[in-house]
Amino acid sequence: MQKLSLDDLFDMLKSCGGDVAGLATTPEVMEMPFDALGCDSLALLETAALIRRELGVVIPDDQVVEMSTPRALIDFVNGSLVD
Amino acid sequence: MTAVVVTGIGVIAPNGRNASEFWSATLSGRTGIGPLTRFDATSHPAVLAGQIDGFDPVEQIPRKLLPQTDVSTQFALAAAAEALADANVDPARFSRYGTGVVTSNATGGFAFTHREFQKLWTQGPGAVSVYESFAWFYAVNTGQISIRHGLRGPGCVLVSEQAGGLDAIGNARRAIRLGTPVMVTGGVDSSFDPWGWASHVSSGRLSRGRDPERAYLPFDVDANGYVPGEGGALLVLEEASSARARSARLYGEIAGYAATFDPRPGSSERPPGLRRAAELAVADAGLRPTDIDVVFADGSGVRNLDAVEAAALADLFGPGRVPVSAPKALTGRLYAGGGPLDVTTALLAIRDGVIPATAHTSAVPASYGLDLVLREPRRAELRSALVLARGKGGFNSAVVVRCTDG
Amino acid sequence: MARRVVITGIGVRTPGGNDVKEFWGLLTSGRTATRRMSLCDPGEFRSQVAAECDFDPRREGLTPREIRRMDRATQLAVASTRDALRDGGLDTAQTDPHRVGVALGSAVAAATSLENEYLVLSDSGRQWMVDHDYLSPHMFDYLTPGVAAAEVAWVAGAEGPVSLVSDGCTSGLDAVGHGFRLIREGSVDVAIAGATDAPITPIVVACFDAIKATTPRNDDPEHASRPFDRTRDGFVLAEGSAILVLEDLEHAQRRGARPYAEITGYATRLNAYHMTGLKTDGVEMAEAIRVALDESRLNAEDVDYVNAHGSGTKQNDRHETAAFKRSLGQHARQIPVSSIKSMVGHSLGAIGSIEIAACALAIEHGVVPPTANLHEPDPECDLDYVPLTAREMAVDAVLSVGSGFGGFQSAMVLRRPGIGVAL
Repeated sequence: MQKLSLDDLFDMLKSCGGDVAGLATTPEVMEMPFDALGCDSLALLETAALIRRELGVVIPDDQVVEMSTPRALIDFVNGSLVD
Repeated sequence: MTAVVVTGIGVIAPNGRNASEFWSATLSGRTGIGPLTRFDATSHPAVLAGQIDGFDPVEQIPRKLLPQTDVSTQFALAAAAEALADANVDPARFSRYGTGVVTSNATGGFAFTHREFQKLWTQGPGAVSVYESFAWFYAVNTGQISIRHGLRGPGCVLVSEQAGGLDAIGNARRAIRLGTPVMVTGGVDSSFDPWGWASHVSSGRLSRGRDPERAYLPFDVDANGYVPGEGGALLVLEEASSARARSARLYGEIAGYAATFDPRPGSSERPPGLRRAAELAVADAGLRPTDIDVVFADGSGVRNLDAVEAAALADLFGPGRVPVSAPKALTGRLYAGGGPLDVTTALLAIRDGVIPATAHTSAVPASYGLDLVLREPRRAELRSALVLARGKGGFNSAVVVRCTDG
Repeated sequence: MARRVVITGIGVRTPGGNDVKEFWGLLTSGRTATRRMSLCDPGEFRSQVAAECDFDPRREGLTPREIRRMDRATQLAVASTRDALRDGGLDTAQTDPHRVGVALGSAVAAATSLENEYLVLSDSGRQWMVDHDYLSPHMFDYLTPGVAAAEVAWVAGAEGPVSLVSDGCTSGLDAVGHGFRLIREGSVDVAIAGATDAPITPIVVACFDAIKATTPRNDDPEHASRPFDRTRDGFVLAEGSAILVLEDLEHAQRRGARPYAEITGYATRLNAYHMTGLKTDGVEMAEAIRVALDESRLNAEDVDYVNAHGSGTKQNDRHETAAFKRSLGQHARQIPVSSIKSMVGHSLGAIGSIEIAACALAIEHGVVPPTANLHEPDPECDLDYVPLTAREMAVDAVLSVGSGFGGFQSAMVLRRPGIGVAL
C-alpha cells in the first residue's frame, strides 16, 4: 500500500473543507497545528472519514481530536497501513 | 414608530447575477427562463426553469466554504456580500450586537442533501458528510451569512414557501424597531437537482410549456402554471436616522408589512386572505389604497390563483385603478427569493420612475379589471409600491415600500 | 403600555408523555424515556439510542388522508394543538380568526417523509434520476414544509400571520418568541406557538453520527443522556412536540382563562463563530439572557430557576455554564439549573417549546424538574444542576435558553402570572 504523503493529505483536506489552498507542503508545515493551517474540527472529521473510505484506516473518535498536526495524522495512518 | 430603510441590495437572479444586471434585464425584458440544463430533464413533464448560469462560487465565496455549502447557500452568500458592499456597511464599525440576519428559505440545501441521501443509501452511514448536519437545514443561510460577516444581533429563519421572503423582511423590520440598527434580510432558494425538480413537478402548478416566452404568463388568458426559478435577493435594512447620520444612500422605506392566512379550504364563506394582507400592509404604512402607485403582484400564473389575486386588487383599489406588474415572468417563481427580489424591483422602480412590464403576457381577461403593465416599461412618478406574495398552503404576505425623499 | 402575553393552554406529545399529565409525571419522577432506537433500524449507526414518542396517529383520530399527507412531525403538532386548544378552553368558533396567528418551529420539518419518498423515487438510492412514476402528490409539501404550520392553523382556525420558524435547535424557543412578539406588537390577540420535530430517520441519525454529536452509549440507553455529567458523550436524538396557546392578557381575562405563566422577555443572538462549534466563553448566549431579563425588568437575583439547553455534549454544557455565570453573576451558583433533555432527549427544533411547557408547569406546580443521570459532576460544570431528584420550591421567575447550529443563542423569561402587576 502506498504511504500517505503530505501532498496527499493536503488534497484530502482541501476537498474536506480545510483552508489549506496556497500553503506550500514544506517540512515546517508538518509540525503546524491544524487550526493554524485553517482546518477546524469538522474538516478533520471529514478528512478522517475520507481516509477510512479511501485507505481503510480507521482513526478512533477520541484520537481524531488528539492528532493536532499533519505529522501526527500521517504517522498514525502510515503506521496503520504497515500493520 | 422607527422608520426602517433599505440601504443595500444584493441580487442573484436567473436574468442577472447582481442588482444592476438584474435591473437592466428586467427593464429590457431579457428573460432568465430557458431549458433546465443542471441535469437531463428532457423527459420530465416540465422542462423550463429560471436557472442561474455562469455563477462561479470560487469567485464569490471563500474556498473552504465550498465543501460545506449547497449552491443555494453559495447564492445567498454572494448576494449578502453584494448587499453589504452596496450599503457600505462594515459590520465591525457597528456595536457588537448591532447587526443581525433574518432569512427565508423554502427548500434548504436540497441538491446537497440529495447527494448525501444517495451516499447514505448506497455506501452506508460512514459516507455521509459532516457538513450534512447544517448544509441541508433551513437555518443555514442565516448562520453562514452571520459567520462570514460577523453579524451577532438577532437571527431568524422563516419558511412559508413563496410568502416567506416578505415575512423575513417584516421580521427584520421588527428587529430594527426593537433596537438593532442594521439587519441583513431576504431569501434565496435553489433545488434543481433531479429530486428537487420532481418535487416541484408534484405541486401540480408547474407550466408544461416548452416555449420560454409562453410558459409562464401571469394573468394571461392562456396562463397555465408557473416556471420555477432559483436565486433571490438580500437587502440591508437600517434604522432611518442612523442610516442618514452615516450619509447612507437610501433606496426607500419598508413602510408597511402584514401577513394573513387563508381560511381552511371548504370551511368558510370568507374569501382568501390576500386582500386583507394588502389592506393591512397599506394601513400599517399609514397610507390609504389611493396612495399606492404600483402593485408588484404575486402573479402565480395558475389560472384560479390569478383570478383570486385580480379580484383582491380590484376590490381593494377599484377595477383598473392602479398599475400592476409581475416582472417575475422573466425569472420564474423563486420561492423564498421571490418576495425580496420583488421588493428590489419596487425600490428600483421608485428610484427610476418606471414600472417594468409583465413580459410575455399579452391578453388579460377583462373580468380581472387589471391595469397590467404589458410589453413595455411604463414611465410613472412612483412614491409608494405594494408587493404581494403567496405561499402554497394559504400564506399571504404584503410589503409596502415608499420613497424616502421629502 | 406594552401588551402582556400569557400562556393559557398547553399540549404535548413527548417521549414518555402523550399528554401534559404524563409528561410532567415523567419529568418530576426523574425517569428517562430514552431507549434503543426503534423508529429506524439502528443497524450500523454509531449512535443507536433515541427518545421516541409512543404515538399512533390513528389513535389520535387522524384520518387516513391526514396521515398520508402529513409528516409525522406535523401529526405530532396537530395532536398537540388540539390538546392545547382544549386545555386553554379556547373556542375557535368564538374567536376572531383574523386575530389568531401561528408560529410553529421545526428544525428538519418533513425529514422522515422526505426520506421515505426518496427511497421510493430513487429505488433505495440506486437511481440519481428519480422516477416520476412514483412521485407522491405530497412531495412538494415535504420539500418546502411551511404547510406544517398551515395544518396547525387549520386546526386552530387561524387566519392571522402564520409562519414556520426554522432556526435549527432554537426553533422551538424562537417560535414561542415569535408568537410573543406577534401579540406584543398587536398583530394578533392569540398565537398558537410551539414546535415539532420527528427526526428519527436514517439521514438525520447519520448526519449527527458524522459529527459525533450524538451519544455512542448504546449498551445503556436509559442512562445515555447525561447533561453536565463528567461522563457525558453526546446528546440523545429525540422527537416530540409542544404547542402553547399564547394570549394577550386582557383577551384571556375577558374570557376567564387561567394563565399558567406570563412571558415577559425574549431575545436571540448569533455567535457569528462557527456553524457547529461554540466558544467556551458563552458571550452571545449571555447577551441574549441579559436582554431577555432587561425586557422583563428583572435582575439576575430575581430568577428562581434556569431551564438549561443542557444537550449533554461536551462543548455545549461548558459553553452554557459559562454563559450563566457571565449573565447571572454570583447568583448563577445559587439557583437551580436543570436539563430535561436528560429525560426526553433532544428533539432538535421541538425541544425549545417542550422546555417552555416544562417551565410553565414548574411555575404552576412549584416543582423544578431534575437533571437525570447526573452522578459525577464535570468539574468545569460547577452549578447546582438539580441532580436526579425534582425539587419542590416556589418558582416565580424562570429563564429558559437554547443554543443551536448556525450560532443561534436564545433566551426567554417566564413569570408567575399576577406577579409584578396585578392581573
